[in-house]
Amino acid sequence: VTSADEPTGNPLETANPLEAGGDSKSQDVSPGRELAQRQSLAPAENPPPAESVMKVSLVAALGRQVVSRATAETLGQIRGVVIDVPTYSVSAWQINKGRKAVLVDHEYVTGLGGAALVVDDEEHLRDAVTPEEVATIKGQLVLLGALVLSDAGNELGHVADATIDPVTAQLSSIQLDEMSFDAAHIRGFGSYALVAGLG
Amino acid sequence: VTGESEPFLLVRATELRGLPVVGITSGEALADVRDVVYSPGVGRVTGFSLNKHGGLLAGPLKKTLPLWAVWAVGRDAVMIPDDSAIDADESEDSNADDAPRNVLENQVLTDGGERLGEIDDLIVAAGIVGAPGPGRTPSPQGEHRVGDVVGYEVIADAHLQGRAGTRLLVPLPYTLAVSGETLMVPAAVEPFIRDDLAGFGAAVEEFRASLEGSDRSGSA
Repeated sequence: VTSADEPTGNPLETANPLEAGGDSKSQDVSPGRELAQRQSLAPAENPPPAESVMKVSLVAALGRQVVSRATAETLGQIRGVVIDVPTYSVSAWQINKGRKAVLVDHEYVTGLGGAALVVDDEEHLRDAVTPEEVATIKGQLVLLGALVLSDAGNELGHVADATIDPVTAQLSSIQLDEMSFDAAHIRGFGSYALVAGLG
Repeated sequence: VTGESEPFLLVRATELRGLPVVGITSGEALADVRDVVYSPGVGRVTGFSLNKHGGLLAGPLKKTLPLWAVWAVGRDAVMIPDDSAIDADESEDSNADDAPRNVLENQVLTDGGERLGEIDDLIVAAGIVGAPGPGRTPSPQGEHRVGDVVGYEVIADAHLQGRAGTRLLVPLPYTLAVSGETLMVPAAVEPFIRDDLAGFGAAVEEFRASLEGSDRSGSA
């Protein structure tokens, strides 16, 4: 378990979104153009800031047991996450249930602690439906290890870890090999790359 | 690619070949750059011809991605705002008033009558283009725009600093005369010719500033 700062609203209003290193070779942006870029790239939806809670490392969370609150039965282990890009949050958790991978929406998670992910009832486990969920189950849309590009078209590295608010499931920060950035800067996530609005 | 001290990011056009075209909101690679489309009369890259994503064996796409539909040209990818931009109509660019053509192996002559060499590559300003749209308003002279071709890499003739056969970088003025086989540059360019992309951006700016200075003194 690790701690991280809260998201800061509009990601493109942050003066220096990179905590270390960064994309410093493409800074030829006039103030007017930069303003236009920020307006154009502003996220469609900005969730309210999360309460200050201890954040959970995705790497540390993977493999944790998933337990039903209703029956206390172990349902499986955390295998991965489905990311909702507009809210930069975990919309669903991928669970290994025997040989089958299933999902549970975060709204049915009652707790994510150091020992387990607790869901309210096993009946809320479900199959993948959306293209993003299917791609996640198939291993085509995996956050850890994903290539990260800035929206300026420069490679920033690969995702080494992410911190998650266990209550809201909002991603707080994305850690790469040599830097990290606020997850609110995520602009897109696909099978080729995670795109960050740091340009 | 130039270092951080450069006033703007410069890349060779050949280095853009093979870069993926990535949708910012989807994170998907939608195509690969096959080549740049260059209009020497306006001194700009006006778009990119494309291959299907996945390498040369994936085959070419018939369409061209116009520069106005691009958000950014980077070291590792060409970024478009969303997946629909890949279908942008290149004919909508009202700024493309000069036909693109291949200038590789064209000769570069000075207005003093010296032959500098043959063009082997283009040096292109890269970075964030900005919000897409046909007929995007050009920046005023003096401000580099992404897609501007600011120099040529030439295989030098014997005249060029006595370095026949080597690759040298020739800065370009804002405008230059072009014909089917020849591109004309001012003779004053020679002191600004470089052999390394590091520092070339500064040489381009100094060269262009020197031309503006000579214009002012000539008109005074």
